[in-house]
Amino acid sequence: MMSGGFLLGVSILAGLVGAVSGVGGGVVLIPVLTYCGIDIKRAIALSLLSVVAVSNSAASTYLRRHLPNLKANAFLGLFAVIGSLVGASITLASGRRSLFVICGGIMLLSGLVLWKRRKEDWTPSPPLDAGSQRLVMAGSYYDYTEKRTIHYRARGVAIAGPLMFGTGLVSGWLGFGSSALTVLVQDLVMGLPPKVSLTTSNLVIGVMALAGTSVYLEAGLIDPRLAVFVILGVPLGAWIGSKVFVGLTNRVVRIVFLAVVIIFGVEMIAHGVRGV
Amino acid sequence: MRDVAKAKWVAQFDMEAFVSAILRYGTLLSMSLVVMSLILRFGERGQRSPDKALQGTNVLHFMLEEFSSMRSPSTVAFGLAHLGVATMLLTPYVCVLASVLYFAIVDRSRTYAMMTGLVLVMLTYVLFLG
Repeated sequence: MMSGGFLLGVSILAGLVGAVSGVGGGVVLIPVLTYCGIDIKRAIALSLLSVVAVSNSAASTYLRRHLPNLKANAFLGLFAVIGSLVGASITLASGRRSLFVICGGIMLLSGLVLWKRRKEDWTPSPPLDAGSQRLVMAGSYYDYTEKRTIHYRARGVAIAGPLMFGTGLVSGWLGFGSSALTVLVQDLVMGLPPKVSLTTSNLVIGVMALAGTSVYLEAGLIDPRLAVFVILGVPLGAWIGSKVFVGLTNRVVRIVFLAVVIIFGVEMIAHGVRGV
Repeated sequence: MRDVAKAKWVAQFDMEAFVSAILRYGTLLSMSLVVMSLILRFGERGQRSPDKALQGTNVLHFMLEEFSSMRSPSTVAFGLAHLGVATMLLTPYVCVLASVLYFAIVDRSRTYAMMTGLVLVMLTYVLFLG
């Protein structure tokens, strides 16, 4: 059994990385916990708890700065929760390996797109499609690094909805990786600024993880001996991370996320190949 | 006069700040419960963590079970830790509830009120009835 102090430190790091990258704490927690001998299912259960904790803590800071878009959160959250519940109800383990590999592949391909765009600044979306116009997902935020107010409008909601269902499905079925896909949908499909994508993702993944956590709670997979340290460490790290995030430019935010997408992609393919 | 005051309140209502406050206080409450649990546990046995399985059919059942089991001092530490976990999990649920009310009453956006309402119904079923 790992020491409480070690897990507290890892949880603080997970919270920090999760808040800055918009993907929750799983990217740090799952590899460390499984390396320390914790069963993968218990590691995923704790990871989902950490996602809720990151979401609560980081989104609190981001909302005060008016970064997330509440309408985008409502729209994406609906599809994500339906997908998550459908995914959680799929008990067949046979398709998991290939799904892990497919999701990992999608992430690495998305990473390539992000890599090509790494030197580009965010630019406003082209003219809106009918669905996006009807849902009026527009907003603005004050960018402290650029010292100006950035206005934006979402596009591609007709594609983003079904994609978020798929993302929720991944969350409920596989247990992790979906948070990065949530950011990718907003960044690459909806054309939202990276800061808005990441902070809105922080809100969406909290609700999506909550729907999935219920299954793990019922199965008794949330270990309280470890959960207490995750609950203490993750919000603390996320709070520090959210303070750092506000001072980053959209370009740096995208590069940090790119690194996380590559790590997630490799990790998911490895899980698929190993068959866990 | 009353309508003017109401319109002014609606115009000035900052939903982001409201949801932010729910998340902040929910997280702080959860962390406080866990800290109290660790202090009690450490004082009692010299161990810093609870060791009872965290399990229940749903969050409601799980919380009711914890409240009923917190009769003796020896079980208070367990109960507080578990309630800390439950509080962390229920915080986003409260935010969804607040969003439904905001879109329905303040923003008067039927589409978004229905979207958040559906999410609330699904979460209610999973967390309390499933």
